[in-house]
Formats: sequence, C-alpha cells, structure tokens
Amino acid sequence: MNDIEIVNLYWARDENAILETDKKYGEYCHCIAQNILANKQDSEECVNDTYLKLWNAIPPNRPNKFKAFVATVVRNLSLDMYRIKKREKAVIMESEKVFLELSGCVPSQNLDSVADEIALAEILNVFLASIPLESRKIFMRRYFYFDSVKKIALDFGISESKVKVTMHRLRARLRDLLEREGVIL
Amino acid sequence: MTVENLVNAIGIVDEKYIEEAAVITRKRFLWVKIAYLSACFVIIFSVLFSIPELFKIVGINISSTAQSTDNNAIPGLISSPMMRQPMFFYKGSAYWSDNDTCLYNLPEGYTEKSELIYVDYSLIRDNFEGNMKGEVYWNPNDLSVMYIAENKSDVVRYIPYKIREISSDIPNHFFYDGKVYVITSMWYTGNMRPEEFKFLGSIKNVGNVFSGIDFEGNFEGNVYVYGENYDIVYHEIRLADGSYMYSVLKERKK
Repeated sequence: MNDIEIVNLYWARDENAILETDKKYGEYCHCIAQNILANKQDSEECVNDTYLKLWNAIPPNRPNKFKAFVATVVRNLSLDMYRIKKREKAVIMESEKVFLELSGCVPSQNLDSVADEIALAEILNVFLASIPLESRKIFMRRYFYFDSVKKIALDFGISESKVKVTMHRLRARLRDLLEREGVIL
Repeated sequence: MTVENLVNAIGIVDEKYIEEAAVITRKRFLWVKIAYLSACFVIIFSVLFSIPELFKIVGINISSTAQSTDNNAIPGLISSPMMRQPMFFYKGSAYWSDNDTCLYNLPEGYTEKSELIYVDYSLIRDNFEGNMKGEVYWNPNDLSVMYIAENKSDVVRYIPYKIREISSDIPNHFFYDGKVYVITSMWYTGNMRPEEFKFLGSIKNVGNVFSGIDFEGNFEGNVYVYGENYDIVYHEIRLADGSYMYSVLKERKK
C-alpha cells in the first residue's frame, strides 16, 4: 500500500491505517526510537505512542511525505522520553554523544531568549542545501536519526574516521553559518 | 539557543532531507545478510560441483565433457570419468567402449573406415590414458558396433564401441555432427525461427531432452546455427500437430 492510500485510511478513520503503517514503517520507527533510547521496551512504547499520535494528527494534517512525517513524530516522542530518562539520570550513551557533538555548534549558551526553532530550521535547510549529498545524508543520519558512527560508516561503505572527520567539518560549517545569520545563543 | 533548540530544529527541517537519508531498517539489514549468505553458498557449491570427483563419494554422476579441438574434425567426445565409461560421439551418434576387450586384428566385415582425427578422453581401464588419433571402422551390415583403431607403441589395437542409446543417461544433451550441445533454454511457438539463424542440417534420434514440458521422447528436427563459431545452436522440432518447438542449445565446452 502506498503512502497516499495509508493517509486516506487515516482520513477515513479506518483502523487499518495503523496496521498498514506498522507493516510498512514499523521497523523504520523502531530503528529511530532504538537509536535514541537504546532500550527495546522504551522504543516499543514510543512506537506505539507514535501510532496514536498519527491517528490523532491525521486528520487534520495531510502529510505530503508520510514517511518523513512518521519519522519526525517518532523522533520527537523518543526525544521526549530521552529527556525524561535523562532527568532520571539514566545515561543513554549514543544520544548523549549526539547532544555533545551538537553543543559544539552552539556559539554561546549564555542567552536569555530561546531562538525560534522554525527560523532555525530554515537556516538548517539552507545549510543542508549547500552541502554535498553524501555529507547531507551523513549529517541527517547522525543528527536526525541518531545513528551511530559505526552504523553510518557501514551503510556508506566508508571508514569511521572519515565519518567523524566529515561530521566535524559539517559542524564547523554549521556553526559559521549560524554565527553569520546572527543566531546569538 | 540551546542544544535542545538545535536538535528540535533538525527535527523539523525540510521533509525531503529526512526522507533522503532514511534509515536502513533492521529488516533491510536482514535481507542484506540473507543475500550475502546465499551468495556465499552459491560460490561454495559452484566450487564443489566443479570438482566431480568429490561427488563420486556420494554417488552423484557429473560428467565432464571434451570435444574435438579441430572444428573441421568429425568426432567430439565426452570423457566421463565419473561413469568410468569412455564415451565417443561420431556423426551425431554416441558410442561407448564395449568392454575391456582389445582386439589386435580387426574382425571380418569391418572394413569401412573413416579417419578419426582426435579423440580426447581418458581410458582409465586397460592401462591407457590420454588422447589418441586413429581410425574408425564399421561394418555396413551391422552398424551397432564400430571399432576404433588405436595405435600405441606400434601395436594396433581395435577397441569396440557400441552405439549408445542417447536418451537414457544424458538429459538435456543433443549430439550433432560429433559435437555435444547442451540445451540452455527452450520455448514452444507456432511461429518460425528468427531469420538470423542459418540452417545447418537435420538431426535424428535426439534423446529424451524435453521431459517435463509436455513433450517426451526421441524426435527428429532441423538444426540452425547462430554465430560464426556456432556457439549457439537453434534447434527446431516440428511436432505432430504441425506446430514447432524451439530450443536454444549451447555447445558444451570442455
């Protein structure tokens, strides 16, 4: 079943929509949640919450790219759970590393206002459009999907050190862009 | 801005970038693993099957094939070490050595002869191994047995060969003009053959090569060839209902 048909099921309030979503994107969702939470039970819970959230979100939404929509929902829910776990002092190594790496892109932490995340996303879009395809995929795999360096290296057929170097350069470039755009943090 | 803001912002970038970098799921990894393991098995079995002697142990017959190195030479030969029975193809028929008996005088009546340019086989029995040249003798009144004169160490021996029933042991093979062909694909159609194939000749007594596709038994037909080296033979059989069956035959290389 294609994505449009699945979205139509949601709009028709047909519960098969969830079954079809699970059939098509279940593994995909589990993979994202597992990357962020590194816990099978928590991942399972997040994926189930994802289906509920999709059910509530469609309608009124009618996503053009259902796959990306699903990924965003499961990622957000997994990050929410990650923050709860972090408050409970449960350390999740891989996600910690991602946050630590990204903190290097933030020019200053001493800010009294929270940057508008939508505006920030626009800058990120410009940044992503300006970098080569492979670098962009690596960036997204690491910072959207929270994939480990090892897994990225395996999937792209390159060495882990090359992945690290690429990500280091991308973060430096992002930091420059953020500074140029006046995102004072 | 905090790292949290940045992480959240990455979560709402253009969907095309999210889709573009879609995660390779565990399921896909599983398929990759399965494909990898399958490929390994195929390679291992290919290597094993290339060594026929290994299968002798478990009683599987895999015959290796040889043929005349001279395209103009008449005979080709299948040397079949697994069957322990040297075989020989001459003028579209197959022969095998009758027994260990070697005659030092040609039997009476066997006077017709044709030069045998090249026979490539290993006669395991009778202390003989290797290639040989010789002459073929047969009796015009009894074509069921022929003799090959083998000249070794100035002693001429005549080794009897019997006409082999082609249909029994070698499925998917076809003999034509001393060469062996293996059928690689076949189809059935009422239409005629492609124009680029050139008529080569007619055949008779082709064995039981089509069992399993609604046709079984010996038949007659025409042979067409494609390519200068005749490496692909196009084989046409006219069936009883007037329709045609075609097969692509590939000459079996050593």
